[in-house]
This record gives sequence, C-alpha cells and structure tokens, in this order.
Amino acid sequence: MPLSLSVGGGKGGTGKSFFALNLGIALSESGKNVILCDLDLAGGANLHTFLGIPYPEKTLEDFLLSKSPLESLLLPTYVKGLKLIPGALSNLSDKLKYFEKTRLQRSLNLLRTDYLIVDLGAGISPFILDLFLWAQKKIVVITPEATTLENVYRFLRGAYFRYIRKGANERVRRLIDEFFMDHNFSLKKPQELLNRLRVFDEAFVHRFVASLKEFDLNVVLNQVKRPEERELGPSFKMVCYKYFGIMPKYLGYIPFDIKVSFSINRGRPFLIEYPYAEVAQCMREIASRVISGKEMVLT
Amino acid sequence: MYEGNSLKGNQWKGDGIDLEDPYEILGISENASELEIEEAFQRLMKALDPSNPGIWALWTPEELNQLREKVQRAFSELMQRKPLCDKESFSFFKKRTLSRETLELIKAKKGLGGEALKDIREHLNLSLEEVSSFLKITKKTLIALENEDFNNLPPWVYLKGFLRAYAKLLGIEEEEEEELLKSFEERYQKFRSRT
Repeated sequence: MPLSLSVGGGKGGTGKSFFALNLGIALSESGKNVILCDLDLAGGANLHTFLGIPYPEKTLEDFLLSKSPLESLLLPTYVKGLKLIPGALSNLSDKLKYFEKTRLQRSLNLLRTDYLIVDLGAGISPFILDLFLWAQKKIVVITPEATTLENVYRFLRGAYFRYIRKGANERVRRLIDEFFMDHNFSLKKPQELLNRLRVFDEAFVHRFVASLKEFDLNVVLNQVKRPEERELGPSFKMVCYKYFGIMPKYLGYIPFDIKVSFSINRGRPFLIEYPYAEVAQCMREIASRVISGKEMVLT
Repeated sequence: MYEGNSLKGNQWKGDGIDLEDPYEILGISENASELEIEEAFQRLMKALDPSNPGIWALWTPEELNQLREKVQRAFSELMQRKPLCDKESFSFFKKRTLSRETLELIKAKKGLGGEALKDIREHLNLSLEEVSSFLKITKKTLIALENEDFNNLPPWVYLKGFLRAYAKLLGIEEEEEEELLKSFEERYQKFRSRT
C-alpha cells in the first residue's frame, strides 16, 4: 500500500494543486515513485494543466461513471517516477453516491507506488472530508490571509466532526447529531461536544482523544509575502492544538513568487522551470520532511 | 532553519481536554527544558492573540483572553519551580533510602498508598518542592497523589507512570512497587465506578 497524502483546506487559490504537484515532483526527484491523483470533483480539476496536458483522454470520470480501472488512467509525465490520474473535467459532485467513495478508496489503496498524493480541490462536502480523512498524512495549505485561514479552520472543523462521528456507535452518533441541532451552540466547539459526550460515554471520549495523537495533520504555509507572516505557521499549530486537541506538524513555508503564474501559463511545473528559486528550495525541504516525518523548527 | 522532531507534538501527555496540568495547557511534554517551556508560552500567547487573522472563526475575543490567562498561569506555575536537578543531585537522592524496618512499620500502619508515600518522603527529609522539581510533576499533583485525591489526578495510564517514578525515587523496591500500584489501582477503579 502506498503512503497516501491528502491535500485539502477549503477555498480555492491557496495553492493546493500547485503544492500537490510540486511535492510530487520533489519526491520523485528523491527517487520515489509518485502517483498524483486529481480529486477535484467540482469542475476545478487543474493538475493536467499544470503539467501541460490540455485534453486528457481518460479522466477520473471514467473510473467513477464507467468503471474503468484506476491503473488504466495513469498518465506518465515528463518527470521520471511521477504519474498523474487526471481529474474529471465536469462537475460530478451531485452525481456521486456513498459506495463510489469506498470503491475509490479501495482502488487507491491498491495502486502500486511509494507515494500517492490526492489533491482534493476546494470544498467541504462529506465526500471531500472523508477522502481527506482517509489518507495517512493529511495536509492543509494555508496562506497569511484571514479569509483562507478562516476557511481552513472551518474545513478542519468539518473534518473533525466527521471524524468523531465515524468512530462512534449508533448511540453516540445520535448524541452528536443532537448536539448540532441545538441552537444554543453557536460556535460549536469540539470541546463542548466532548464535554457533552463525556457524561454519556467517557470511555469513548477517552479513546477518541487518544486517537487524535495519531491523526497526522500537517500544515504548509504558502504565498508568504513578508518575513513576519512566517509566524503564522507555528501560530496555526498552537491554535489547532488548543481548539481541536490535534498538534499538526508544520512542514514549512513557501514564499510568494510571481514566477509561479508564469510557469502555470507555460504549462511547465515550477520545480522544472525554476529549480533554483527559493520556492523550489522550500518545496524540496518540505518533501524531505514528508519523507523523514519531521517538521520545521524555527530557531 | 534546522530540522527537528515535532515540538513534543506526539509525546504530549494528557488527553488534550481541559485539564489543569500546566504542561498540557502549554502543549509540551514533562521533559521540556526551561527554554522549551518559555518558547511554548510565547508561541501560544502570540497564537491566541485576538488580532490574528482568521481566529474569530474559532473563538470570540473574550474567550481568547480567558485562554491567554490560563496559559499565563500555567507558565508562571512552571517557572516558579526550582531549577531542574542535575546528575549530582540524583545520586544524592539515591543515597537516601529507608531502612527495611522503617518501611515495614509504615506498611503495617496504613498499607501501601498515598499516605505511605508521604510518610516515606518525610522520613527521607524530602520536601514536596524537591520531589516536584526532580520528578517534574507539579506540586498540586503530588499532594493529590499523597492524599489519593482522584478528582485532581490524571487518568490511570499517566498516574501509573507517576507512581512508578515516585516509588523509584523513594527507594521502594520492585515487589513493593507492584503492591503499591495494585492497591492504588483498586481504589482508583472504585472511585471511577462511583462517578
């Protein structure tokens, strides 16, 4: 089974696809086999564009609607060791059923490769949240703007509540659903839910909280324009710990660089076009941290 | 920049829920150095600043101030301890052990529990501060341990560790250590089943 990484986090424009792609490239440069899977199902699939492939013949749509095996969709790229499963070109979000997701997860697990990077695109639907949670390493991409941070927090809240519901028995699930229907809880903090559940099933809460230590959440701070903004990486870590009880690993930051948009328009990935730019160096450092499981520490 | 393991991210104790333990509030392990404690404190204060972008999606400014106060108190508590003991002090501690007779006497009096630990500690002329600073357990927890005040003690999986460390420090040997743990656990489970 490959090591699966999901890249998610709310709204568009934070650089999830850019990050997913260049992480894949950096990992293959280290000699690993990587499959990049474009799971943006709301019509925003772009990974093939980044790679200069204008019209992929077969896409994930063929897997989801025509039952083509995932292996048949693998496209080689001009980066050795990196293959792409192009995303569906139309909006499929309302056509998918629950069992499709389990079939997808099963097929993804069977792919033969070292790393499997799944780009989830924008959104916060249960389908996306489940796929985010399915991966071993869950990565969110944030930028220094208040709006993207808000969206990532909301995304993580959705993921958290989805996660706790998954592991619960029917009785606890009913309690969780009741909690959400209670109009007094306006901001609906995880803490409040846990306190409520503790009264009914302390063992469950204890187990759940222990399981959060294995959650393997990772954060990347993208499009940093000023040195002060780098603090937002460690800051995000602490906020996550305080609010969710999850301590993410800070994988690193990537500076803003106008050349990113140039490379996109050329259909050439950034790491290939500008291998000596600071962005490229940061990406490689992040890739090595993904491999080693360590995180970035600010001195 | 240098590479490092997560700032105790995967080793922090406690169950992350609102306990009163200062290490847990700061999100660090009990082995944290003074420098690490200070860094964690500063990072948290900065992170919980109401002017941080996006943070209002999670807490109101009032809630943030409450959280910051809690963090400040946790930090003060940790900083009030004496400096951590070095290797020399450990061997100094090691030299003090109870005679077999005294231990038997204490055992006979009230069995092996929190009170016995207190008795032994006092016999060895160890203050709560010394033990707290050496074992890196807060004084509050030590007192709760000696009083078997389960309301103020962490879950068994952590309590067990404290008891072992404390027993070792007091020179309690293996057999007695197991006895101590067993009787403690019995009373702990009884308490748990009542609440």
